[in-house]
Amino acid sequence: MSRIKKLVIDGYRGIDHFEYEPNMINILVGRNNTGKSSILEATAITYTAPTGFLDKMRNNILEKIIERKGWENLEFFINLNKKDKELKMTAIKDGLEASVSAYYRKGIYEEIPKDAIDLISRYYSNLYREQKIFLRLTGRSLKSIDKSIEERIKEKISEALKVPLLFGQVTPGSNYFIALPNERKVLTTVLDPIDLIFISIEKFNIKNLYDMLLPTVRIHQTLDYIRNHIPYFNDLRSDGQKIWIYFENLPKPLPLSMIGDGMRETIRLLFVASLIPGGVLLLEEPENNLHPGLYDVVAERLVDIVRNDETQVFLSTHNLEFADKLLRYGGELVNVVRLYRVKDEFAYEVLRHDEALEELDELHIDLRGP
Amino acid sequence: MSRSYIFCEGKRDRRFLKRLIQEKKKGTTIHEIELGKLDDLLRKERFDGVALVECGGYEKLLKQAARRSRDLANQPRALPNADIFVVGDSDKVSKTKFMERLNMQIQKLRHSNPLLKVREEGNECVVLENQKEQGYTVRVFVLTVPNNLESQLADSIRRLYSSEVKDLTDDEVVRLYCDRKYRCDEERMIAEDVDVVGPLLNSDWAKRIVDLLG
Repeated sequence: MSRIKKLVIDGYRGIDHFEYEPNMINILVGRNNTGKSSILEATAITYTAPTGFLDKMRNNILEKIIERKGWENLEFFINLNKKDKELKMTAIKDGLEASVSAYYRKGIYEEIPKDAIDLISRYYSNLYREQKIFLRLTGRSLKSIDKSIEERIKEKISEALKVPLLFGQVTPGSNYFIALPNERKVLTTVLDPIDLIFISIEKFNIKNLYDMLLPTVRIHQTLDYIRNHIPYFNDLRSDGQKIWIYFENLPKPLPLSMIGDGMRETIRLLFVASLIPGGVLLLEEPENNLHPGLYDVVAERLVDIVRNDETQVFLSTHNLEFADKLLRYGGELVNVVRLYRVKDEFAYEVLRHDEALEELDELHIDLRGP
Repeated sequence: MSRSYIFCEGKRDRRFLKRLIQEKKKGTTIHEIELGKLDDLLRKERFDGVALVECGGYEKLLKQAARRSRDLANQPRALPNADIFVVGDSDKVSKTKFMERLNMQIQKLRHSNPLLKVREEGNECVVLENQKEQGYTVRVFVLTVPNNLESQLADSIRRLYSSEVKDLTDDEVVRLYCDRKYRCDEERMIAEDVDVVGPLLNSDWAKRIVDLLG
């Protein structure tokens, strides 16, 4: 179990400063452009940073996030008010502090640390290694081959350093990373997946999720949960190629692709939620595509995994009904973080579950912020 | 008239304030809204007139008026500069209590730089200045009904029918009057009554609200 006890974000995208002691379920609410996604992204980046930004599905979280926003927009990952073009984020987990410092530099070679340049050099050396081996095997003059490859690597490094770069350092470990727009890659020294899943970065393939869950008892628990909560659902099986869904009263199973978006999304969410016991689950607007009748099913399951597996959940939502279900099922495990943007200023307030429920319940207040 | 928000405790206050504005500020558009629907109104770029919000008790009045004052002051798109009126019973609501709640709400909103500057002005006014939008201010007037509206109505009835109601409580007095004259329809009583409600429309505290509405 590696619960985030404190999160400090300084200068990531639109966030000037955010300091928060998370609960087990953290619901981010606010109007568009108030920073909900930025907080989820920053949490994902910081949590995965010490192990090379790899999540449980072996996605490079930082790479995926940059991909989503555009490699040409690296500059905007650092809050525009930060004159030093530097951001810092810290996540304090149980007994461990993980920090990420990142810088944006444009064509200032001297300001890029040697360790970061070494990463680029290593990357290109590896890239050419196979070619080198092939050339050696063909018996061509080793000296000239080596020379030409060394020159090409130097050329590539020099090209890479000409474009704007985002690079930084992660502690513990003092490992460097560098986002390389030329190659659309984030280079790091460590590569070790961690128990975090961020839904929205990628719509995970249900077959892959099923295959990952299959060796564990959690597949049975999850399918039992679906059976108990969706009466017409009988079973879900894989034939190795495809997933088939067995519905009551249907003579034949249906391929997964033939069932409705809402049902598919529910299965995806429930599978993902079961994959990382004790880890961190980040969900961006999980209610999208869900039928309101399924809010209960997903909300109750999320609270179950938080209670039983101590998985920590951060999610953003615009749906007050879904938030309401989570608040009711989760009780004191839930916090609501209400985000505001006042002109160019980022602001937020933290509501305990009882305060949030009071607003929703007694006052029918819209929690989304002004 | 710039847009105004009036927060009051209960139904009876809302109905009374509605009649007061209708009679003393003819032509003003009144938006009677439940607290839960206020967000929809706050999000509209433009609305003219007065939003009359019933909060359901003095605790909610203080909390929500403080919270909404903070949010409105942080929201320069609510231009023109807004005035907020917090109208409560003098036995439960005061400017000091409102200031306590306001400070609590302002502290709850965390941010890097000061967003709001708060200063008191006279006995009944609190001014919130937006630090990001120069010149944008929200004035909050905390106005009170002596004791409460029920006792004001009861006193007014007692003045007319002292012998019949002398041993009854304020609530019983108002109910009895409403039963006899308006068949228990309190909404109609407050909207139409001339003998009992009429004089209250000219009381000092009601005049103060009308004057401040501008």
